[in-house]
Amino acid sequence: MAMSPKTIRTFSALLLTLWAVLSTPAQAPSSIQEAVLLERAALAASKRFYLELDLSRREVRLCHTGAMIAAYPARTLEVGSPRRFLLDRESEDPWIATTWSQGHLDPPAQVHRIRIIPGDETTTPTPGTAGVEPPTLEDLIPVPPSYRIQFEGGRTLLVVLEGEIPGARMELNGWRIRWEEFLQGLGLRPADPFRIRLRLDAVQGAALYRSFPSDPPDLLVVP
Amino acid sequence: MTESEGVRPEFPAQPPAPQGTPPRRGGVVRVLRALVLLLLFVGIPLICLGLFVFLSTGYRYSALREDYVLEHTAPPRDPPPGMTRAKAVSAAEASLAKIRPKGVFIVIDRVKNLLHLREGDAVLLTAVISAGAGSVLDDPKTGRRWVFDTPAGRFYVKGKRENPVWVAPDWDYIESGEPIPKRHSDRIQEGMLGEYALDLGGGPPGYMIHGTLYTRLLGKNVSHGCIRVGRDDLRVIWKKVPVGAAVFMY
Repeated sequence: MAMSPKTIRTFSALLLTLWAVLSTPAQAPSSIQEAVLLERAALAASKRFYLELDLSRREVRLCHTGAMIAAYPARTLEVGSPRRFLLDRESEDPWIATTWSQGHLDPPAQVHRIRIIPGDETTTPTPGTAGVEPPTLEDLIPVPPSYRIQFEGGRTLLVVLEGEIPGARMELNGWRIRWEEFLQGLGLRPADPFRIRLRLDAVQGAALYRSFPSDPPDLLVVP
Repeated sequence: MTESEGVRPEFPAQPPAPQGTPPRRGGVVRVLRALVLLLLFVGIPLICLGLFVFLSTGYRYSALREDYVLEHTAPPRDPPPGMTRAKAVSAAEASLAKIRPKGVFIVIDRVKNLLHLREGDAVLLTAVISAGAGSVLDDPKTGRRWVFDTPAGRFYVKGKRENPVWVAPDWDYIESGEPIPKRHSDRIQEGMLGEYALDLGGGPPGYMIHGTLYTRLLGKNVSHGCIRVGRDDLRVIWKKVPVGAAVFMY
């Protein structure tokens, strides 16, 4: 049975409407901006440091009470999900315009503090004698070539450093990390359901690592 | 001897064939061949399978796609009870505007030993400083302990002093192995803090931004928690930073 032009037009319009409805983004841009604003205001009111990860600018910002304190530009930004035999297990949870909280740093930052021996000038913070070179915090806080912050729910920010790390370096066994990831992929270890991997210049990445207080700050992902 | 016997050709004597022992060389070859076949048809596929399993399991990373961003954006958090979304947004904007630092403020990087004088995103001055050493001092007599860190967080300039004097605390004497003076006046040292000091609170003991005699150590973590600044930079800071200005230390 041949369809009349009117039927074809109606059918096409219906199809177009259906396509438009299905392809409509989950949220309108204004709604996304509102979500970011509300999260940012809540973080600023906490009066603690927090991080903002700007996806469009590809940079991490250390913020406090609404002010940007320092920025760490990333070379690349990728999203990751666990996979088993090439099958990805992508998380459906929303992770943008929401706060990632209760993070812990892996490996944790260590400060190799110098113990002052009373009367021994070489151990005092301010040696009066020229030639005695006191160490800097870069010498006292070793930085690994990669580290991650695991937040509540397993969302993870993985930071990979590229280049020469300034100051002290913490050695990591890359094969052991890969083996752990393999076991996580197989389901033999709890896996991170969602990851963001950032590649940073080693100077920036080390500065970010050394800036963390004992607990890493909360993170807001900004689209 | 018969004639026939006389013409019988003579063959060289053959050594008796060994009874019951397998041919040695052929056996080794057969075993090797079996091993090669085993490796070829079982070992290599197993290794390949293992490699495939290992390489195809773990985490997969891909570049961020725009549709991915749209699909994974969280809806705005619920407004407080009795408040519409529009009102909550206005309240958030007002809250941010109120809490953000106004005018000139200071940012101190304790690791790189840098001080940035800022107004909004504009950097007015970058100065090399000396922040806390992070070292530890124990008093063997009383068991008291001091950790010489510059604290992290947001502070305010609570006061400004010209020609400040330093009242040396106990740790200064313990550190140098000298007896702690009994009289307060014996602790007062002039000129140690340079021309100016900006009090940040956080006490006791209280932290300051001040000058230093040890200018050769600027850029090193050598202080007991205060921020030491060179003379010229301190003069600029003194002029531009009012009491009440925010100081962020990280």
